[in-house]
Amino acid sequence: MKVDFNQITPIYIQIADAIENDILDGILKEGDKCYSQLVIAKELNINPATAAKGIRLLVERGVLDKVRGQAMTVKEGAMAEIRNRKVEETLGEILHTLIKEALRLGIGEEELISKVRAAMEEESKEKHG
Amino acid sequence: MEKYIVEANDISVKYRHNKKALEHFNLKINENQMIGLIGANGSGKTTFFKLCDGLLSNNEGDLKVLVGSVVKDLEVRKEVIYSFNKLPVAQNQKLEQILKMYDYMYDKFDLDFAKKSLEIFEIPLDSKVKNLSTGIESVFHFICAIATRVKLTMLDEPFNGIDIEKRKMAYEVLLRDYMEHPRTIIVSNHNLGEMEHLLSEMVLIDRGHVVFYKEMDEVREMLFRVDGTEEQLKQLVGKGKILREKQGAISSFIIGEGSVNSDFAREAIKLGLSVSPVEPEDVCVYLTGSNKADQLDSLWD
Repeated sequence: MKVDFNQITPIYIQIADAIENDILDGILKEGDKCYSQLVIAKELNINPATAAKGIRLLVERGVLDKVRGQAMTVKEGAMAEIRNRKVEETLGEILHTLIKEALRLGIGEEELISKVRAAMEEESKEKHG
Repeated sequence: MEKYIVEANDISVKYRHNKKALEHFNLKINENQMIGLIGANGSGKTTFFKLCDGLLSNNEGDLKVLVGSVVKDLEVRKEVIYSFNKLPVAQNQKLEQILKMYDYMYDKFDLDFAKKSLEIFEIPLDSKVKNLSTGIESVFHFICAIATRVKLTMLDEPFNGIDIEKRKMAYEVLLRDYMEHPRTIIVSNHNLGEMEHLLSEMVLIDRGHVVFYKEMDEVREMLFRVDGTEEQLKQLVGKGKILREKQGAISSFIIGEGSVNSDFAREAIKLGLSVSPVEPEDVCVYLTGSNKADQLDSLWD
């Protein structure tokens, strides 16, 4: 997990996002115990209140759940929850930026779509050797 | 529910010539927080610390530290430390002797912790205070203050003169020890950007009074900046409170009040302008600054 103190995104949101990415990447699985507030604070050198806020955000987002006392656990169905939200928010935001820049450069719908297709082919080629 | 470790009610402190160091100063400090005390030179930070340590007395108002008076109650006295980088200790004494004094004065002083920390910072116990460099002297006093583990720890510019590597280590010592032994720690530091992520709360003071006392995340949502051309920025006039405007040939911006999600900021976003949050360090400058930086151009006229 990495947070960037120079980024404008608040640190607690960066923490929440980083945990979500660990879940998407399979490092944390549904039903697993999440990293504790103190471990996050210690390793990233941030105030424990900030770490707690990041964890709270994931409880609000329905990704983490408090079971058996104090331990925060990755909820069943967290993966789908994160995916849906990211498609909606993160991808939506990137698309918005992409389209704005394309329009500024005078690139039309067809040209943009073919560029996206080419980039996707490139990406899958790299992935599969 | 809420427990305060310091309660300052309408405090005034006058120095010679009737100059007021603190005026109508009101502050209730929450227990077990890591708090940054921020303010320009001469804003009253040190006066406030000295007051809470019993080194100064107030001319007006009431001050409660822990359960009572830091001057009269011994049990309060023993739970408060005020430390700064040039503490007036005997210059000829060896560090080991000073540690022993701390150990004698503070019940919870962790001598082992202090010795081990000094070893990690490569500060020999048999060196004398007068032979320490500015930065090392700062590290030494900082370690001693942390090792006391008292309920109220006040550190006045503790990182002065410390090199970047040791400064980062010191930040880590501060945070880790706070997590292991939760207590109230108030730190004044001009380098807010470097340590803001360690803090849970922040007090901004200006000319002897409190501007605000807020959680760090609230501070990050106080102001925003909009970049655009002079023409574009003009459209924002009257839509919200503008704290500062800067006009240049190639770059103009305004500082608006509110978070990047406020109605005011949304107006700017709607106009297609670039909106970004203002960092805590700059929040302080915009809220208390004298605007003197704008006069610098006159130096080279």
